[in-house]
Amino acid sequence: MIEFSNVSKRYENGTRALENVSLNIERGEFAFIVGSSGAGKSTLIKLMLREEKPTSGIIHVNGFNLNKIKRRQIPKFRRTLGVVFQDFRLIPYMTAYDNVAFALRVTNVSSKDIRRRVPYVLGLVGLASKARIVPDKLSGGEQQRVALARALVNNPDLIIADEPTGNIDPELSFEIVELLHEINKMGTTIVMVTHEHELVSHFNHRVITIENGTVVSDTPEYQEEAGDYL
Amino acid sequence: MKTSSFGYLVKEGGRSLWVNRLMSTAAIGVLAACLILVGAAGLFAANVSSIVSFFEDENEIVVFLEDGIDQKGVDDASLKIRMMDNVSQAAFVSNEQALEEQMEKYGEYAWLLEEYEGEENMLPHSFRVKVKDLEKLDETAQGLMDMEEIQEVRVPTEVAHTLLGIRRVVTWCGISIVAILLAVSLIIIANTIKITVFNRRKEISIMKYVGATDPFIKLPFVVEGLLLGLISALLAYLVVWGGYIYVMEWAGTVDSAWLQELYQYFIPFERVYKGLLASFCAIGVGVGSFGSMVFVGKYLKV
Repeated sequence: MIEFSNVSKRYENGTRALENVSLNIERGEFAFIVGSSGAGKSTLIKLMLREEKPTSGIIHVNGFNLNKIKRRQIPKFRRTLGVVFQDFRLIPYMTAYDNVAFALRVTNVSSKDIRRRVPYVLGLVGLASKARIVPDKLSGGEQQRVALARALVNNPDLIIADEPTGNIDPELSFEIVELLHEINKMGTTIVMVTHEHELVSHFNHRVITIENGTVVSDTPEYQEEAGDYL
Repeated sequence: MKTSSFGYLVKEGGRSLWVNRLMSTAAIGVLAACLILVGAAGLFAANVSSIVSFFEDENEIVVFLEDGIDQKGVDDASLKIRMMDNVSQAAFVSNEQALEEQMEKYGEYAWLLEEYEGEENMLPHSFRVKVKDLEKLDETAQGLMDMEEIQEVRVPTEVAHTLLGIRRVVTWCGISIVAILLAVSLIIIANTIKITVFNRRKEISIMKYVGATDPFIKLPFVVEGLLLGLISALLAYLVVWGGYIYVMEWAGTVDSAWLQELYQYFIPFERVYKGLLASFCAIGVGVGSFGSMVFVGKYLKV
């Protein structure tokens, strides 16, 4: 599903963000990516989304070779995955319903299918009653659930969550990860970047630890040494 | 792209204009102000040019025919003069008519010329010739001089050169003012659109992350820019229309002999409204939609 082979990334200002990273995340897995600030986690996510190109190495995500993908193919690639960000990234003037529907509209889904699918997904994340509310009127946790619904609505094989609990209360964080955990149980691959020790230890999934641009540990489930970097 | 998607994107463009109404108002204000300045400068130059054209038309060459020329000679000369490229009009003035005109000018002393009537008339037959292009006045005068039927050509060279000078200055000043205003307007409008798009760069990046194609993202912005340009154009047109009518009415009532003389050569609004509206709409829509398309493009590299 996600394959990094000897990937390095060096920015134009000379910063070495990643150095010779190799990792493989299989279909149906739930992987936490942890590491301190500046370790290279964000660069890893940017490379997975093809927001950045690697300086060297090969990246495959969802069957796309991201080294060879053409610019006009990027939208098609991004439609195969769902993305959740720390700052929710919802369109402020659109209601929760329209934010979720937007991800379907870009793929030319018919209005009839949109009317059928969006309420269902909003129901899955527990926001059926708040469909007509704009993001500003929702709590942080609710906004993140809208973002999660938007990531889910296209039925992606992979969800990439970049610190999805970073801007919400700790108790709501568990709810969000619980939702991701449930989605994972249905077969969707989840990659989640986080700082939160309690979450990682609580959910007991694979933990990939990055430090100074390299993978320093990769454990099938949470172990104490991974927690040192959180 | 499906028709339903296209309809949705067009609707989104309109909605976005309302949602971002503060920036939209600023952009419309700037664009309309620029168009008003351009329109006012253009109309001013066109009116000055119209007045100068009138004086140019009044400017005529007087051609005196040879003494004792017969009717055949007059007809030949008439044909040759009218055949000349730059001649727009040639009016024959017989020596009797010329004498009558002179007597009219003399007024109460007209009796002094009575002895020249009939057989004693010493005045030559003549033609009053108007030219199409004042720039070719000397060339045309030389052509007339070369005709055997013509003994003398009187050319108002000095007046013609003065008028030509005025026309050149008016034309170049008009073009320069409109061009400068247009350039300044474009820079201001470009920056206004740039700020509008910059304020929404996050929104654009969200669209990219959910897999929107570049045309899908651009279209609502282009529609928004197009509507913005159209509203500005209509607003500017209404202001220029109202202002022009007001100035025309004012000029018509001012107690000034020279202004009243010039007033009749002012261009009526009915003669320019179509061109003005079309130009405003073309500039407004062009700048609005093209500007949006270019600046959105800068934020699509996500």
